[in-house]
Amino acid sequence: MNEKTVIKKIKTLKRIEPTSYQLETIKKRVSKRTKNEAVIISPIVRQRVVTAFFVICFVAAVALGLYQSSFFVKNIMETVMIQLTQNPYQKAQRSLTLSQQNLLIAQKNISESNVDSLIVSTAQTNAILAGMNMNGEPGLYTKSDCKQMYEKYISYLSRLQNQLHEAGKKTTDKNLKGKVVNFRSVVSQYHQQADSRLEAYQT
Amino acid sequence: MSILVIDREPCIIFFMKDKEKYFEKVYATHGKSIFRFCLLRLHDATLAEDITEETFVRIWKLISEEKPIENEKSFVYLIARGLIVDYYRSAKNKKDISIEEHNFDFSYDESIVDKIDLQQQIEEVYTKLKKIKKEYQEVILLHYVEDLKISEIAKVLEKTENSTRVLLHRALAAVKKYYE
Repeated sequence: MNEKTVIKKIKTLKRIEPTSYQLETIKKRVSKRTKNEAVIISPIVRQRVVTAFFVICFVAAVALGLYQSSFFVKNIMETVMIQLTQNPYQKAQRSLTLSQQNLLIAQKNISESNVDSLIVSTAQTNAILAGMNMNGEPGLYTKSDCKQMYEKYISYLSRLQNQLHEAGKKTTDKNLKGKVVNFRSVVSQYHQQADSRLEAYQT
Repeated sequence: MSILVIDREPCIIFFMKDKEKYFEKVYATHGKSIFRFCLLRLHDATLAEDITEETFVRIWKLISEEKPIENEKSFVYLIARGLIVDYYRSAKNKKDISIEEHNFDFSYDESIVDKIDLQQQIEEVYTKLKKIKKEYQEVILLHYVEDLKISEIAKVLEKTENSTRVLLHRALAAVKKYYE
């Protein structure tokens, strides 16, 4: 028997397929096992956990009398509002505005707490933007809205990188300097990710 | 956040919704063939179901942890193969069950006569394949039944492309011997 005939015979094994019942059973078993893990990190749960965390922070801050300036309270309130906003575009807009405000404050006075606020608000903005659909979502925002939002975000990241570069040079505080350097490398990653997503519009 | 390769386009997977969609796609594409591969390697439908299940659970874990997947097809077979190897290492009783004991779905509507004929053909090849070395069975199944390229098989078997080619050649010669 020649090689071709042997191969042809072997290929008959391709006809073996699981019954639809078997396939369905495996699928059910897999999803039963994976769902348990999915729940822990599902976006809804994550959002609720983040919201609860900020609410607790707020209550704790009030209880301990830590709110020293009206800006601090505004910042927390705004973060809570962002978490509660449903429309991803509005959410991104609010979060980006908050990050820009935090950047302005840090420009005037670079301190550990101001850098912390920037880290939190920028990470939040990045996560929200990453969750936006590049082609828009019917009734919520368009493709062009999303593109514009990315352009604004990239411009913010460029300013932030420059500011961090300057701050890193000026500051003499070792802790603050370390924090600024780490944050700068994170911002650079955000920048690359945002650039690659924006490039998708050109291709 | 890491990069996964989906439809050959690098995408950044951020949220569970995307991961679930991607996982669904992987299961729909490879579910049947992984089951077949497991069945033909393990000769036991229940075991094949278990290994297929475990394979996809592991894939899900990797997707949810945002681990990079470069060649989806060979990656899926690599996991399944690893589990089969583990099974053979640990199992003491490797029972051989006839293929007739399973209810196979053939992929098209056939007359009973055709179906019996096909069943006999499958039984014949299957019996011959079982006689050759396990590594020969593996390479033959991956190439001729699962349609993996030599480069993909090399990744699954963790060998070089050249040695995979030689292995396939020897494996085919071994099967051919049983047909003479």
